[in-house]
Amino acid sequence: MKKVIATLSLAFICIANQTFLAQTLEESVKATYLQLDSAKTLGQFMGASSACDILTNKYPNEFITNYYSAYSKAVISYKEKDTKKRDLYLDMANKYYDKVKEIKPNDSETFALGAMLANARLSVDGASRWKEYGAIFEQNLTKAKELNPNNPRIYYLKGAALFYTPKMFGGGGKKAKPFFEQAKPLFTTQDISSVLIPTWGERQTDEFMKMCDE
Amino acid sequence: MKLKLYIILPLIFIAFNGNAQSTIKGKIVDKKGEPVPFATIYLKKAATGSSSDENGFFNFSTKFEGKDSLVVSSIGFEDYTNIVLLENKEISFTITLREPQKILEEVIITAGTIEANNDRSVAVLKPLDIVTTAGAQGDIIGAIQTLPGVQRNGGDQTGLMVRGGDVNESTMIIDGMIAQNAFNSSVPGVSQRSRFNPFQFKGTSFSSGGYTARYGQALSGVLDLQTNDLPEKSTINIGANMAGLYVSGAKLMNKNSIEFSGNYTNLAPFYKLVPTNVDFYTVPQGGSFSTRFVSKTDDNNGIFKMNFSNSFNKSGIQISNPAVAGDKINFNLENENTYFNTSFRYFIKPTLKYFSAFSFSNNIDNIGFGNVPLYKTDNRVQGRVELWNEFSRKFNVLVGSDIQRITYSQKFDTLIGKFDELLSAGYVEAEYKPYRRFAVKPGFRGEYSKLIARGNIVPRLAFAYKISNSSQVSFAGGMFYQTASTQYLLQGYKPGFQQAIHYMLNYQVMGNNRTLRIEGYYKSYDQLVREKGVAYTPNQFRFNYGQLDNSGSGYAQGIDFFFRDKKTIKNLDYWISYSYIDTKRLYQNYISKVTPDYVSQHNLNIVAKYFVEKIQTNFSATYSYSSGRSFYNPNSTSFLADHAPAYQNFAMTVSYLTTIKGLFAVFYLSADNILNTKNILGYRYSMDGLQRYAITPPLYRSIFVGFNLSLSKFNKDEL
Repeated sequence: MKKVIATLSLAFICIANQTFLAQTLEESVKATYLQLDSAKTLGQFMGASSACDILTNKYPNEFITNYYSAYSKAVISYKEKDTKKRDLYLDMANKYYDKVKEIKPNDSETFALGAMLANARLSVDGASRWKEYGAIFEQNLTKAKELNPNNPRIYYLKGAALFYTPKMFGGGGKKAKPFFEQAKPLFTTQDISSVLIPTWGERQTDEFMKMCDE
Repeated sequence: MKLKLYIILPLIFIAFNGNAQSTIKGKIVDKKGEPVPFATIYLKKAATGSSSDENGFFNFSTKFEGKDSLVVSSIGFEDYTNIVLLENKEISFTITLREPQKILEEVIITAGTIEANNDRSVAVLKPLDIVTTAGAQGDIIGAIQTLPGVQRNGGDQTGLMVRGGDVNESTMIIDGMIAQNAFNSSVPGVSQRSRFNPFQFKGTSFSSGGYTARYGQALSGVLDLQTNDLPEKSTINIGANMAGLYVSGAKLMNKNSIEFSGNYTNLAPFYKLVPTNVDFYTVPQGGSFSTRFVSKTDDNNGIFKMNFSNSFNKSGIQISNPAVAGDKINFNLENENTYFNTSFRYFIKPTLKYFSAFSFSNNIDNIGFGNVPLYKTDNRVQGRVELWNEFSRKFNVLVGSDIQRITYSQKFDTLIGKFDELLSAGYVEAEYKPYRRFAVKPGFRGEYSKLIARGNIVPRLAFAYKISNSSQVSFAGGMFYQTASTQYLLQGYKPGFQQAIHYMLNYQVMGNNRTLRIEGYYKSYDQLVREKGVAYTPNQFRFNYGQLDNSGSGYAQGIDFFFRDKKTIKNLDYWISYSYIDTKRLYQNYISKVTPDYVSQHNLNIVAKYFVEKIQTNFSATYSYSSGRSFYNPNSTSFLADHAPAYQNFAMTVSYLTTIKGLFAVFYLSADNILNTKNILGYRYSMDGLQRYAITPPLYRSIFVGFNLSLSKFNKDEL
C-alpha cells in the first residue's frame, strides 16, 4: 500500500509537472507571440526578439520557440537599414533555423520559413543575390506546397517577394495581388487551436492587399 | 515512508509559491561607455530574462535561487557570460560588451589582375559591369579598354594592346583554351569586334602582366574568360538591332542544359544611317550558329561543358592601300570560322581537383586584296590536363600540361607560305599562405616549340600582404616567352623566342563600395625579332622582311590608377582609370629604339552608370582620352617622333527595361563619339614625302539601336 501510494504520488507529481510545463510553454509562447505580433517600432521588434530567444533558451528543443526566434530575426533584418547588420541577424536566424529543421525536417512550415530566410538574404543585396537566393526561395516554397498546399504563408511569402520585385523584372503590386488573394481564405481555414504551430500572416496579408490597391 | 512523502509535498508547494525573488538590473554599454539598446539578457538555468531599453537599462526578477549564468547578447558584439549568485536580493551590474575581433578576410593576390566575377564577392568588377559600359558596343574588348593598362584603340586596329605591347602580345583564353581567332578577321585600318557574346561568360580575369604559370606565349598579358555554368532556367531570347537579328534559347533539364543561338548580321541599316569614313561596296553580312551543352555530375562535384560555333561572314570595303599612301584599293573578305571547345572540371574530393580541356578551331579567309587573291587558313588543336591539390588550408599545388598543334597556310597570288607548330608545355604552381595576411605563389613553366626546336623554363612569382581588412599590397613578376608573329613564320623564318620580364607592384584599398588601385610596373624586353637589311616602311602588310634575328630589345614602365565609387551618390556608379606609360622598343623594322606608333603615353577613361528607378532606365556614359600616337614622317630627322593630336571620345548608352505581357524587354540606344570629334590617329606620307594623308577611324559619330526580348516569364510557376 505504501508503495502504491508512493508510486501514485510520484506519478501525480510527474503528471502535474507535465501539465504545468505544457501550460507554461503554451502561455509563454502565446505571450511572446503577442509581443512580437503587436510590435511596431524596430525597438519593439528587438524586445520581442529577445523574448523569443529567452524562451528558446528555456525550451531549446521545441519547434515553435526556435521557429519564432528565427522568424523574429528575419523580420528585424527586413526593417534594419545597415546591410552588415541585416546579414548578422540572418546569421543568427539560421542558427535557430538549423534546430527547426532538426526537430521537424518534413514540415510545410519549416520550408516556408526557409523560403522567408532566403528572401531576407536576397533583399539585402538583390542585384548580386537574386540568382542564388531566388532559386533557394522557390525550391523551399515548392517543397512547402508539396507538404501542405493549404499553408497560407506559402502564397503570402510569394506575394510579398513579388511585391518588392522591380516591375521591370515582372514584379509589382499587380502581379503580387493574386497570391495574397489565394492566401487570404486559407487563413480562416487553418487550425488555430494550438499556439505551438505558426499561424501568423493574416494581418500582413491584409496590409499588402491594401498596398497592392494603392 | 509516509512521513517522507509528507515532507516532500510541501517542499514542492513551497518551491512553486515562494514569494522570495532576486532582482537583476543594470546597464549595458559598449567599450566607449555608450549604451547598447535592445540587447538580450537572460539567466540560463532560471530561464528568464529581458532586453535592454533605448538607454541600455534592464531590469527583471526571478524566483530562482543559487548559482546561474547571466548571458548578454547583441548583434555586433561578442556574447557576454558571467556567473551570478541569486539569493533573493537585488543585484546591479554595468556590463561592457566587446566588439568581436574582426576576422581578417583572406588575402588574394591582385597584382596585375583585375577580375570580374560573380562567384567572388570582392571582385573589382562584375560581368554585368562589362556589358553595360558605354562605348564598348557590347564587346568585351571594348569594355576591357576602359581598364587601366590598356591602350585605347582608335578604331584602326584589331586586338588588345596592353602596357606597351602590340596586338600580337596578348592572348584571349576561354575555359583554359587559347582562342585562336578571338576577333573577326582583320581588315587593314578597320578595327574588328571579338567573336564572343559577353553574356556567355560568368567570369573575366584580365591580367595586364605577371600572370600565372598556367599560360604562356603572351609577352604582355592574358584575358582569361570562363563560360557560364548551368543556366538558371529555360529561356528563349530574341532580339533585333541595326546590325541584324538573333535568337537564342536554353533548355534546363535538372543537371543538364542545352543552349543554342543563331544570328543573321547585316550592317546595311547601320550604314544607311551612319556616315562612314570608308566605303562599303558589299555591306558586312553573315550568319552564325552556336550550341552549347552543360552537364553537372550526379554528385554535384563536377561540370562538363561543350561549346560549338560556326560562322560565315563577308564584306567588301574600299580601304587605304597600306602600301601606297593616298591610294585606295578594294578589300574583299569572306570568312568561315569553326570553333569547338570542351572542358571538364571535377572535384575528386574537396581538396583534389581535376581539370581537362580540349579545343579545336579552324578559320578560312578568302580575300581579294585589290586584284590579287589571298587565301588564308589556320587551325589549332589543343588540350590541357591539370590537377590541383590542397595539402592543407595553407598550402596547395597545381600541376598541369598543355599541348597545341597550330597550322597556318596562305597563298598570296602565287606566293605560298605555311608553317606547322607543335607547342608543348608543363607547369607547376604552388600557393602558400603561412598566415592569413600573407600569400605567396611561386610557379614554373617549361615550354618547347617544335618549329624552332627550342625550349625554355621560366619562373613566375606573386605575393600579397594584407595591411588591413580593406587594403593590401601585392607583387607579381616573371619571365615570359613568345615565338615570333605568324607573318614571319609563314615565310619560313624561324627566329628564336622573344622575351619579356615583368615586375609589378600593386596597392589596393577596397571597402564601403569604393575601390582604389594603384599599380606601378617595369617590363624589359629582350630577343625581340628584328628585320635587317630592309628600309623602314609603315606598311603593316609588307612582304619583304629581309634578314631576321633576335637582336631587338626594349622596356616599358608606367603607373596605372583605378578608382571606383558606388557609394557617394545613390544609384550612381562610376570609375576613373588612368594610365601613364613610358616605353621604347627596337623591333620589327624599326630603325632606332622609340615609342611604338600604337602607344599613347596617357590614357584616361571615365565611366559612369546611373540608374533611374522611376523610369526604369539605365544611363551609361564613357569619356575616353588618349594622348596622340606617334607616326612616321619621312621628312623628319628623328624616327617616329611626330605625334598625332589627342584622341577623344564621349559615348553614351541608354537602356530602358520593362516587361511587356510578362516578357522581360530591354530597349537600348547607344551613341558613340556624340561630339562628333574628328579624331586623327596619325598620318601617312606619299612616297616622295610631299603629301600626307590623315589616318582616321572608320566612324565618327554613330548611333545604334536595338531591343531584346526574354521569353521566359518571370512569374510563370505553379504556385
